[in-house]
Amino acid sequence: MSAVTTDVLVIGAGFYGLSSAWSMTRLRSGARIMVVDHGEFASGASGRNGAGFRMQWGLDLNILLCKESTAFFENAAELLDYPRGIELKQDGYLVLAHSQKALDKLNASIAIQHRYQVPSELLDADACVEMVPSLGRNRLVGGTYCARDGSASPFRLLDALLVASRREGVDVRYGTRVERIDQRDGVFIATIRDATIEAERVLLCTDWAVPQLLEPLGVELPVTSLPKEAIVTVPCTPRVKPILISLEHKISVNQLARGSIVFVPTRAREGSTVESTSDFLGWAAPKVVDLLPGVADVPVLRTWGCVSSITPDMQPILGETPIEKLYVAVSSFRGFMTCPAVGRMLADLVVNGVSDDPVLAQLTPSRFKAGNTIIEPLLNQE
Amino acid sequence: MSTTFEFSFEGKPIAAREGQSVAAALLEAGERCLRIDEAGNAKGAVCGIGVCWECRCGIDGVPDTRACITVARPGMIVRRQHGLSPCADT
Amino acid sequence: MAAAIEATARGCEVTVLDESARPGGQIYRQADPRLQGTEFAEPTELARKKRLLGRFDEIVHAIDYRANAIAYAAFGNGEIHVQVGDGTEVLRPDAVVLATGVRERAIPFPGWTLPGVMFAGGAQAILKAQRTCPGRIAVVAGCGPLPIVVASQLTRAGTKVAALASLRSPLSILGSPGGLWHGRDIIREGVGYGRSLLQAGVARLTGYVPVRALGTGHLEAVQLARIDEHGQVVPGTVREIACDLLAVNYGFIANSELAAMAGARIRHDPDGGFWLPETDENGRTSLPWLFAAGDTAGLRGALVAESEGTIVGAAAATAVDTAVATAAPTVAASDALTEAIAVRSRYSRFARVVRQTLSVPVALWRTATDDTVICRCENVLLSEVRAALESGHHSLNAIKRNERPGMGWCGGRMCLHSVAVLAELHAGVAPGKMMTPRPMARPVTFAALARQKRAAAE
Repeated sequence: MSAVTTDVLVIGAGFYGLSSAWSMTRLRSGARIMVVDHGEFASGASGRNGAGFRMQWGLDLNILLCKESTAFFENAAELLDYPRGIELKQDGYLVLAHSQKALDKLNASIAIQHRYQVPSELLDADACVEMVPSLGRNRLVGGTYCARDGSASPFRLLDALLVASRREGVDVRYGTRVERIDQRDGVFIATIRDATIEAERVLLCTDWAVPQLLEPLGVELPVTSLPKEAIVTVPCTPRVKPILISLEHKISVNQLARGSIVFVPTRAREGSTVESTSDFLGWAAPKVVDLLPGVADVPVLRTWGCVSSITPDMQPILGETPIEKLYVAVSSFRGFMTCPAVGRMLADLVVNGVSDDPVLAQLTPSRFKAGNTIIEPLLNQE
Repeated sequence: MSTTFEFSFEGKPIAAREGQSVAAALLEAGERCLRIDEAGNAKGAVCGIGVCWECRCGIDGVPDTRACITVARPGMIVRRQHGLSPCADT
Repeated sequence: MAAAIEATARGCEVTVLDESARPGGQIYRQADPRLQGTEFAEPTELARKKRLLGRFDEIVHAIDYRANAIAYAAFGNGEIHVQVGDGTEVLRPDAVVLATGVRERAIPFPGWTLPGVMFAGGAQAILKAQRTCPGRIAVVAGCGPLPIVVASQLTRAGTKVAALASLRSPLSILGSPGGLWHGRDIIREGVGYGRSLLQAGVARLTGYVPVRALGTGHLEAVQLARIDEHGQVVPGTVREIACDLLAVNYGFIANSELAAMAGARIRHDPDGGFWLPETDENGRTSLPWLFAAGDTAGLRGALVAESEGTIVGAAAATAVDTAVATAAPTVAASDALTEAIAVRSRYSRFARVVRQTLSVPVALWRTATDDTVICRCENVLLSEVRAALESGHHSLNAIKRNERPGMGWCGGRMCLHSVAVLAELHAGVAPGKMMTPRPMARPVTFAALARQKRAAAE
């Protein structure tokens, strides 16, 4: 049984794992960092999502996470020394309200966003339809728009993080599944099939699967999986400029630069597979046509599956577990859009052993014991 | 001899026989370029049986219609598609 | 057709989903009845076609035959989703027979996307079903029997065939005389086609393949050459021939998407259809309700397909009767079944010989250069596929995810097998594992999906 030793072991090479690893290298602590992933590059949720980012949230902490991350995306090519670029598209997000109650939520959220200089504005139904003529007017009352919101290519960003991490000496290994973690003499032992990795500190970035590795150590975390499916159409002429979120339909819509339109509708489901279900399209298509009649005649080309994480208050869980030097990072379906900020905060915490970041403090795993749940009004479960 | 008639392709009259597909009539008339793709490449019929989608044209206002499996009709208006599919854009 | 006939004879309610406007599939493709003209085919071939179509015609009103019906998804729970007209429907049959056949195998080479470069079978479809010459001056190329047949039919129709380039000499099959004997009627037809070519004085280039298609905006000429075992052009062998049609066929890929989507186990057979559902001798896949018959289950030609249709139709009917057990139930004998088994056995031996002519050396994928389009729909170049391989993305899923070949209108039908071979060629990756099969097998609009009928649950 071969044994490898490292200072920091990151389990999971998705956005949180690689962003944390890269951020750790920036602290120049000299710590040896290893990232392992059971799959291939971008085979998990990081490679299956729409890669949208928005600052339009109703909660301070989400606004702050995404504001910092947006600034990173805008400069990612330079910061990560990735000349190819991450296919950044900033045509804004339009968050839609189809009821007065939803509009009230948007109104309240805008006030908070403006406190942080987020350039969001309230639009009435006419203005929404003028911006996106394909929109249906059925029940539409208005929306909010922020021009700095947008999307990028998840593959390019993940590749940029991977290349930059390796450049700084991070050992990233794919096809490496950690079967269990044990603790012995203050050291963590991660067991792979025929080898072990010994690490002083461990950061679990396996998202919805985090509880699986925590259970044998006696740590419980209220994380469940939410399987979702997504739709992509044939490439067609531009007809949806900003990314759309409909709070009522629970659908996000993103027309990519090459013309294909990606729809991610969310519904309550159990399980953790990425299989395509037989009732998905029959359920989703009428909602899409109701939201966006202008795409009714656009052919659907493909559907795929993705698994997100769900926490009791739908907010990320970031921080140290009751076991010292064992850390977790669960995204609650916002991994991509928060990964630069989260990476920075976790790096600080893991390498320095302590962090004074106020956002991080709010997202600690121990908040559930204390009964602190955080409510974010602008959730689309996207 | 089966009946012949005309349909239009890019404004030009094309002769067709009853029962003939749009692609076949166009090939007979020497028209091989049926589409220009997003990268500016000229495309024509390849598989002849509706599987490859290379021959898709705007036919009587309906976009992305495969010329190789669409039967020509008198007065039909066939246009090349350039770039992204218009998909009945409003 | 054969499966439907047999299942009906055994008392089943049969639905046939035909993506075409009328029965016949590819090999027995029927022209629109208003079109006049001949098929330029050998009489014995036409007789077979007429006989099978006649038998199907006898039962077509007793079954639910749906023309222009596109099965766009299949699921592990036994559901088949189909588009008919401007709506969609969910079917829940007790058993399904996939007789979706094959499509032609494309090998990319510089200039292959020029209008005028077609599949040989595609050119033949224009000829047979459209009674139209697909070009004035043609070069026909590829391997196996189809290019020979197509070149001959084009000649008979009045197209000038400037050259027929064959990867191997057709005489190479003489090395297996035993197998040939079983297909002697087919051989006779082949001799008939060969005679037309001789009489027309068509130039035969053995060992030559297309290495470049030339022209501005459309095909104007083809360069044919011999290539060595490393895929390099043998110096001094390049011949440039002016033409407006290049009809090329390098064998076939099975249309196994629905089987894979439903979760049937898939096996890899590089020249027998590439990715095929595993089947037993009765066509049963690893899913007890799903059967595959004919070329979908392995490339063996029309005569095996027809006899196998009867065999698999019988097996599927039996599965319905016995409410689908996990072990394959015994199929009751009948005269039709006994004869079909004998016919299949006979022609299978011949098919094995013909199969050898369809084997294509992986080196042929070296004729593509870095700026050759590999995925036509998404304009993914060889250089981009190679970049993905060099970054360590070795599975088809990874290459597809990162560079997008296979993510366009045709659903990867023109390119994914090439991506698999390129991964083998440039990065030593074994092409066994298919990419994850996903809906849709064909593009369907939201409007049609929103108008979905579900058959009442039983």
